[in-house]
Amino acid sequence: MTSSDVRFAEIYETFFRRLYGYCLRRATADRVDDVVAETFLIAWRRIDDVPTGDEALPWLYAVAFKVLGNQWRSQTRQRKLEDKLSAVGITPVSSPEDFIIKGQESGQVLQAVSRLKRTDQEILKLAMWEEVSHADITLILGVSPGAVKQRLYEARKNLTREYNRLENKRIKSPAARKGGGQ
Amino acid sequence: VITEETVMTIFVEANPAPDVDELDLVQTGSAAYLATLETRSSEMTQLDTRSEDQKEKNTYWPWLAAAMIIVLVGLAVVLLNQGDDAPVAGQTSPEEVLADYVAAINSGDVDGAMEFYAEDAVVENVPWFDDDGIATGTAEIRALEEQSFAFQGSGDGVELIDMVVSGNTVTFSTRFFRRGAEADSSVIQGCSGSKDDQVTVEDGKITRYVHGPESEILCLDWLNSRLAPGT
Repeated sequence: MTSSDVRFAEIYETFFRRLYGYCLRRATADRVDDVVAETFLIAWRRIDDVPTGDEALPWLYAVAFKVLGNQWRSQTRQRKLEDKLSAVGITPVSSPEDFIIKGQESGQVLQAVSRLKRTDQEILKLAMWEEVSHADITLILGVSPGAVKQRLYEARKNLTREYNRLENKRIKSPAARKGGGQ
Repeated sequence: VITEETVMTIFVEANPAPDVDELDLVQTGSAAYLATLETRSSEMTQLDTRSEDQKEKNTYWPWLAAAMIIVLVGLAVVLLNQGDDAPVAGQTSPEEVLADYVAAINSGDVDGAMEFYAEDAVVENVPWFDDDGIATGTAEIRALEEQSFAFQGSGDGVELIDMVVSGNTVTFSTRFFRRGAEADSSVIQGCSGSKDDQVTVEDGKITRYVHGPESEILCLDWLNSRLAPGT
């Protein structure tokens, strides 16, 4: 085994599950394996750039975030194509569920978070789901520590506002008024 | 209205994978996983699959390429320096653009200040401007600048301090002053300046201006007076 193989083995054994969890929280179910594989592929190619110890994890998150960015861009293009197809009466095959929805509130909060700027979504998820420190968020997203604090503060406010907007819409919907709010 | 705390609790509970240790994953060994990567990724073809001997034979190529790049860059620098010393159009440094922009502000020239913004420029973190604190495009930025000019009296000025340039981004602070007044008593209507602002300059134009997180604190008295009922 070469020294690169040994390094890769260490990174893979130590961080596979956490990286998989990170991708599972962001990618569609049918793409999680691909995003994880792409991230590890980049880590393998750039094995000398991967920091040692625990600092490898933020590095992997940063790479996965960029890989997911490419995926989101192609999904956006696909969505636009689907919209065009719908306009001419062709209904595309529906895609798999994005997330395992645990209930109406979870679905609603995920919908609300999807309305935020992408970096703000990521800051919220890193802070609340991965419980990553502000210092590591600066490494992952390449923004200043002050900006992380400020944007996290704003993202929380904006998420609350979007959630309440969706909640008001839901309460006013005919289904909710009849008592079938789900 | 559902509080921020409750929404955050719901958000944490909505985590699709709260405990990665409980994920039902079959994790193969690293060697097997690498083999899987090779077969599943079309990009894997770019990986260096040559034998060690082959690599050894070809190691001089990167050095040769690097040497050629250095020679070409050196040649370009020499050729550029041979011409007149006047700055090349579009090559103004970010700090010069910022300094000229501030000079336009100090001379009370809104149109002149607007000349320094790109058409699609964004000014961020200006909570006194509107709900999201963001001014996008020259129309919104002009409105923001006009508000600032209205606040800044004709005898007031802005001084740039602590400029740090990194690539095309300048991080800086400002101090507001009243002309002729003592430097240390430079608080204008409850606003003493800004801290850790950042501008990004592309092709001689400001494309992004982010007010530092603490800038709001330096102007808190002014903000409070603006937000007070009846003002």
